[in-house]
Amino acid sequence: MSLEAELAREKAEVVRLRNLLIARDAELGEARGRVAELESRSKRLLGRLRRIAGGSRGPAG
Amino acid sequence: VSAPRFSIVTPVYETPADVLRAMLRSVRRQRCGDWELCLVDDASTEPHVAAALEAARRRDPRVRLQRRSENGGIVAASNDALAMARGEFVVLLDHDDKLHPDALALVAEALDREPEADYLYTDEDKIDRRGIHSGPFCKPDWSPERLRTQMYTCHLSVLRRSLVEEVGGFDPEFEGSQDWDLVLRVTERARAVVHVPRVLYHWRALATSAAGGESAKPWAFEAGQRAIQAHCERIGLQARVERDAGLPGVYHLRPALTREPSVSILIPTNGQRREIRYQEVALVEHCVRSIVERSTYEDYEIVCVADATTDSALLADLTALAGERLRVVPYEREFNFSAKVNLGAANAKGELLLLLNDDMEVVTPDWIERLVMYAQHPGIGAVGARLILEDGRLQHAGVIFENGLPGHVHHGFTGGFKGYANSTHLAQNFLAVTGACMMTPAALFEQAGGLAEDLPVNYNDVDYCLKLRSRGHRIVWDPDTTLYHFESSSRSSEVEEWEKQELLDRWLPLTADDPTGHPCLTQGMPRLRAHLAWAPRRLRLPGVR
Repeated sequence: MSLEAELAREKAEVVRLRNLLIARDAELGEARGRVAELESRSKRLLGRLRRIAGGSRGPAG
Repeated sequence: VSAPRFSIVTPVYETPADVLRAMLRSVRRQRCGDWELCLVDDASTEPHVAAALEAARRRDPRVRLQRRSENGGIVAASNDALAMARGEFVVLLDHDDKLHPDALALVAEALDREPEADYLYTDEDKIDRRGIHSGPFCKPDWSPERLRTQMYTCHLSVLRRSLVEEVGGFDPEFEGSQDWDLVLRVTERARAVVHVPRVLYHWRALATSAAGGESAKPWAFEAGQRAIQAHCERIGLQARVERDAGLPGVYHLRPALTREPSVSILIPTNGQRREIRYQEVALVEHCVRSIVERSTYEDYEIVCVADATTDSALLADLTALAGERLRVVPYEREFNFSAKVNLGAANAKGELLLLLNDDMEVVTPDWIERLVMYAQHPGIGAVGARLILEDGRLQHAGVIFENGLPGHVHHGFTGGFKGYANSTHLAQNFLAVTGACMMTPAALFEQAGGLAEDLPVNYNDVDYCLKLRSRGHRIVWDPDTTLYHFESSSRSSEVEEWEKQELLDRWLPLTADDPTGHPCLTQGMPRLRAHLAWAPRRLRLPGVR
């Protein structure tokens, strides 16, 4: 195999691996985003539970 | 007989008996008694309808009744009811819905506070056949941009009768979305629009009502599209209206520019390099490449304000990329983001300025057209974009203020996050948008004194938007203009205490109670305690028993 061909093959492999990492990052981003969404919701739920436990009937609106 | 303040306008057709009785009862039980109910029976054949309406008329002289000899449809019947109205304001109430007992009283109070109000709307929720409440919709204050992509004001709508008559009442061409069309036409001429942030209307979600979803009344959504299109043409907004493919009741504006003003893209940079997608790049080069390769707009220049220390080879690469579009303005002073942007603006030739960080990448090809569509429209001071992080999460979907301080709503949530009431898919008004990508007219930028140089790092963009807002200009966020923002690659994202205090000192009267948010929302989402507030029997209001 010529040096040029070897170089091209390695370059293609780097591109393939980069794309793999990018796809994995997108997956992780989706998971991170869901975590953020759920944590935000949990925080709001917790606030409600505390108010219920404290006997509050809610705000004036 | 003196005219009442409110004429409740209700066309009736084949309404189920229990639902009709509930509607009539909800009017009778209004705490404010200054109303008349204008009922038009659109030739219902069910005998219980005529009987119930007649009984209501006999029971209360404020109930007025007409019967059409033949069925004419919702618009004809509504116009007949409008013709009966004698009140100063018209209140739209559907035959199967209910008013909260305090609805008219609280609208009257709002009118006393803002006598110039020509249109008022309230929050709403849905009720099922059994009367169970769900889905409270806590709305922002008046947002003309949002009304062009969603009929968010909807119920309860109260309109000054003289203005309704001036615009010719309901238009049969928009049957199914006749309310939306009417509200658009009235608000085009309204002196003031007022939001009453209380759930005062209960929308019956029957299988046959629009509250039941798109499949219930598909023509209504098509009529909505035509109503917005006609509105855009009347007000000169250069846009074509499209329906969202997956979200009923959500619309998108596409640019249909008849004039393409010159745009100057201002990019402050120090030539920093960073890894993006596992490749090291010079951020500004990456940014400029994406502009040049993806933009479809013709008339733009790029003004790159570069620190004196910026690598000259990099600047040569930029010139090779962008050719004559690019001008490099050297910046010699110590770091001051505002000063760099102001210097760029002083050297810009464009009618519109587009502030852009160097750590950005264009995604939407017609991004400039989209921003121009808004920025050149009268009344709009600045337009921001939907920004996403490298991994696709939301970076910017508008700025909201809590306790007087700004934050990016839904920051870090998934890119597909719909938000509350589909908010991330809707054009809308905020008090501020990020300056990482913001278009503003050059003339306004100059009038406002540009970015504040005593805020050299943070909040200069927010401060600029608030200056515009305080001068009566609207700030718009566009959900369909997307760019990557490789956030804070060039400087710390930490905000100093003095910067927070400075912003509070300058703008607290405007930001303390963000009108683009809602008392029942936090970070753009419902506080769960709102569920307690919306239930009518638990509603606690000042002055309400």
